[in-house]
Amino acid sequence: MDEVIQILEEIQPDNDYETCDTLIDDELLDSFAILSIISELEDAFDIRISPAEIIPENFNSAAAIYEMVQRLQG
Amino acid sequence: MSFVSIEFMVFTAVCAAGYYMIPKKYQWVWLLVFSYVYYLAAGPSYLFFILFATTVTYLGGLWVEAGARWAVPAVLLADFGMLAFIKYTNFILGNINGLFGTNIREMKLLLPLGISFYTFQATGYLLDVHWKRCKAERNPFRFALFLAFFPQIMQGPIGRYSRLADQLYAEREFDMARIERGLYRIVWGFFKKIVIADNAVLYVDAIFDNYNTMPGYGIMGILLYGAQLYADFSGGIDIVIGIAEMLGITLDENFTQPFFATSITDFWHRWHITLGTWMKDYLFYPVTLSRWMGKFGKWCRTKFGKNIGRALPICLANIIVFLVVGIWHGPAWHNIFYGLYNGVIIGISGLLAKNYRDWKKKFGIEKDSRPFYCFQVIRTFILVNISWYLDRAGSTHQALIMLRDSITKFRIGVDMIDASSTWAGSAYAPLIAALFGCLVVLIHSILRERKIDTRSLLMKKPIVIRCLVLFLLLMSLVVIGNKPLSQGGFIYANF
Amino acid sequence: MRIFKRILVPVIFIAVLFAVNTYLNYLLVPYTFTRYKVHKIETETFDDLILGSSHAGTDLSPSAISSVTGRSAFNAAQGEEYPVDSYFFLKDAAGKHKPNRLIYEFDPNYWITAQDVSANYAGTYTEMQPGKAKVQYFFAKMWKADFRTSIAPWYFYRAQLSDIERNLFVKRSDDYKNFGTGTFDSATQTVEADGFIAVKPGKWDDEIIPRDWSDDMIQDKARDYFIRIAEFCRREGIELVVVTTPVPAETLAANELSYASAGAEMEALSKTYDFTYMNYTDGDLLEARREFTDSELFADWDGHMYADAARRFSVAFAEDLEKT
Repeated sequence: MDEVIQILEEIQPDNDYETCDTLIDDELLDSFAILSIISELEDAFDIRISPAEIIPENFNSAAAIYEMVQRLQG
Repeated sequence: MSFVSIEFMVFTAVCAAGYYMIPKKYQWVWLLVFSYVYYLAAGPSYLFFILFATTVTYLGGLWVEAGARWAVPAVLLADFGMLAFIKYTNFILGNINGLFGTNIREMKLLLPLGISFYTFQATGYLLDVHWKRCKAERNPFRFALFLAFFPQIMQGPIGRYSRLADQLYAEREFDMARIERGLYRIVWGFFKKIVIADNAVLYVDAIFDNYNTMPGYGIMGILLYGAQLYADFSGGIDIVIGIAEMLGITLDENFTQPFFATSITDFWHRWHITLGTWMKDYLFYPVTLSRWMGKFGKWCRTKFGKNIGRALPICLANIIVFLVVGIWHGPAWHNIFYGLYNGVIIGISGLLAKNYRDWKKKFGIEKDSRPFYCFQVIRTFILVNISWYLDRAGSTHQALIMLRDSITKFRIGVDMIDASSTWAGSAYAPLIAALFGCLVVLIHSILRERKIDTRSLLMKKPIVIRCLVLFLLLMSLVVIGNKPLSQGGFIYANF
Repeated sequence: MRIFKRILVPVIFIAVLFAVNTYLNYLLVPYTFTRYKVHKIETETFDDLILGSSHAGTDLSPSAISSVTGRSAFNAAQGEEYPVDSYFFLKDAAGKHKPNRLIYEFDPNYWITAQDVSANYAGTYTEMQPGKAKVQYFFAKMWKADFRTSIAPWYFYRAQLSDIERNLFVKRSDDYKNFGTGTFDSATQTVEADGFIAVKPGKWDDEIIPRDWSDDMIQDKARDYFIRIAEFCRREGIELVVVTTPVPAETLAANELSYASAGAEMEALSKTYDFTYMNYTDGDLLEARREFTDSELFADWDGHMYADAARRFSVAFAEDLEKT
């Protein structure tokens, strides 16, 4: 989970990833950022994220992202 | 049907009235019938194309849901293939002829109404089914309504099945407030189109048609073109959304005060929004996350290091997306360059995102600083207007010449139009009317940018005020609107 | 009570809008001879009815023609009258007071240009009395046109606020109430009681415009509606005579091929639909009446004759007509 937050901080600082759960809804992460994050996540956790996964439910908070990662790790 | 014709007004009124009078479970059928009547009125010969797209995509959705993976590329090819064939065959033939000196004859192909829009809506649906974001529609007639829904068939907005389906097929009670709200939106759209766009176009056309004989008016022309394009397109969308609203259906917004954008990226989040989100969800993400892009990314990382290496594939995908956006605007090289211009700027700003953050810190620029915000808005405004030269000019060559002449031979004036041919016998009147319209829209946009819901505000005022506002808007259509142009259509209706 | 209020408010709003619009029409839309001509053909019977463009209006004097033919005649031609307008004009007349013969002026230019939506677009329609012809006319022209054209024609005249005073004066005068022609007297022309537009001496400002005439330039609607005119005449037993009036020799020279092609087209139609075609821009009639191509007789290059030249031509035309 910390690793997730670290990745988020590095790509798009200035957001409070501990508490925020409207990262997509409030447009705090734009598409460039999302794709950069996905690229890092794929590398760091050895998973493949398909376009089908890019929905607000999966990216609105650090916790949601972590849940998705865990699910994809199988 | 022209939006300004009595025919269309009667058609819409009858549709809305009947919608609330028939048994509720047939309300969606009523919409389907009216949508196809509308489509037939545009030209019965075009019916084949929408029926083809509807059938192929409907069946495709069922097959994909049943597990047939081959159906995805097959349907995409069928839908896009048809669009590409009709829209781009002559462009390709022309280029082949130019390159190889051949003389292949161009085909006589007319664009079926709405094909650019319903093709995107259909393929978006198919991919949503493929990615399990929505269930496939089992009723072919309900699916037909999704593609043919008449308010949006002409120029969008490009809808999503997950948001539209429930609304289209729902059963509704009559609600006077809803009719009133929709009416304001419709009349507001007409105001923009008739007072701003139809007046501005007189100057824009004259300036761009005579760029050789009367050079130097480029800046005036491009600013008025921006006003015309925005008023025409967003006005048309207002009418479309207003009509849908009267029927109780909420369509996606297509414009949110685009001239307040702080960057080109932001601009495309505010201009033709549904096209942008379609591109993002169905082209940008899939291309970037594709296998070969992943390989490219790995190669970039070895060559350029982690940061740039990670950003390059995204930039490349972004350029591809905007290449498609450019091509979508029309089969011509200047459109392609228009797309590339946007794509490259966004790509560079994506690459330099971290650098921008560092520079801002270095110069001590606060995140919400007012002067910086003004700088961003003005900078974006200039960049967007430059891009519009590529959009409006008949060729890349013309665009570049006009750009140069705008500075070297800068002029302002109204002598490019014939005063006696205008509605007031004065060459200034249409310009003043258009500028007045722009002022009204500007004030309205400032309110909306501050998150003030102008319509709800209006709905709360006493009935006399509301009637007065409506009365003034309607009268302005006749008093300061341009006389009907012989084409009289909307720009994006030809897509 | 609330439901009543809900219905009442929109009704009052529409009523107010309607009243304001009607008053603005009254203030701004001038009294033109269209109203006069429509009224005449709806209330009186004539042996010969003349329809067509402004050329027919200025070049064909009914009284001059009558002096040769001995038949009553009225000139209902006017500028911007396209075949569709002539067709419904004819239908309107025939429905109330059917003429025995229609003299229809064929101006090739009206077949190769699409009708512009200007003040005249709705002119004839607005002045017609309600009836079957008007309803059909509405669906043929107004239904698909911009709503302002048929509902608020005042908007073509909205910049002419200075004319309001004159409009009010005219509309309150006896001339207007009794359908007189006195107010049509202008610097360039007057309108006589038989519909003839008498052009006063003095050149108009225009240029010779070379125009092409070819098959793909012909507007479908123009040909369509002309054929409907021909078929309507056949059905109703109205004799049809089509005429192309003379033009200055210089204009003819610049457009020789076009006038010849157009003439040939109409000649072919005259055989198919069995009517008389009299062409003063080509062939025998041009030869016989070449004196009427003298540019001194015309106020402009487009082909509008001065009043006395037109009267003389009308006599010649009537004589030629009697011979056919």
